[in-house]
Amino acid sequence: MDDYLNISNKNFKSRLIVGTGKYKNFKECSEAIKASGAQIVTVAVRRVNIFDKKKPLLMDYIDPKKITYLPNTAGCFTSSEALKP
Amino acid sequence: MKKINKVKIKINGRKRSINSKISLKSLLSTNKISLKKVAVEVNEKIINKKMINKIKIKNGDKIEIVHFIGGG
Repeated sequence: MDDYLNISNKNFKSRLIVGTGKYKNFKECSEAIKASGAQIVTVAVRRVNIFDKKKPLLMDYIDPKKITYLPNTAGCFTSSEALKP
Repeated sequence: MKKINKVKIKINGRKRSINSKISLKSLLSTNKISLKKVAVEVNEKIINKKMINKIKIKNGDKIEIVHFIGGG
């Protein structure tokens, strides 16, 4: 029998949820997630820097179609802080 | 000469003056922001991306464009 973690009609083989912070760069983060086998990662939500569009984005390295993003409020103490750094 | 109407808005906390009658979608494309990678909020309401072309920017609008970053 296959044992899945089911959340909102989505089946996850792995119950491991890993963070995406504190890595040296997005490449290292992406490789660590792949090696862990995790299918859910926690992410923070921040304002887009509309004046510096050359900055790499997490979504360029971790495909949200393959890995489920679980937004959290890393480093925030109020709901407004969660969106306004 | 034809006068171009401008509206004053705030994008991610910064004041901007833009042409009136512009849609939210064209505002994002003008700023080269990929809709696939962001979530957009206008006056504290999250915008359904399917409706983004129909939303016109009005004077005093507060627009927040957010994305996911490594954290947690």
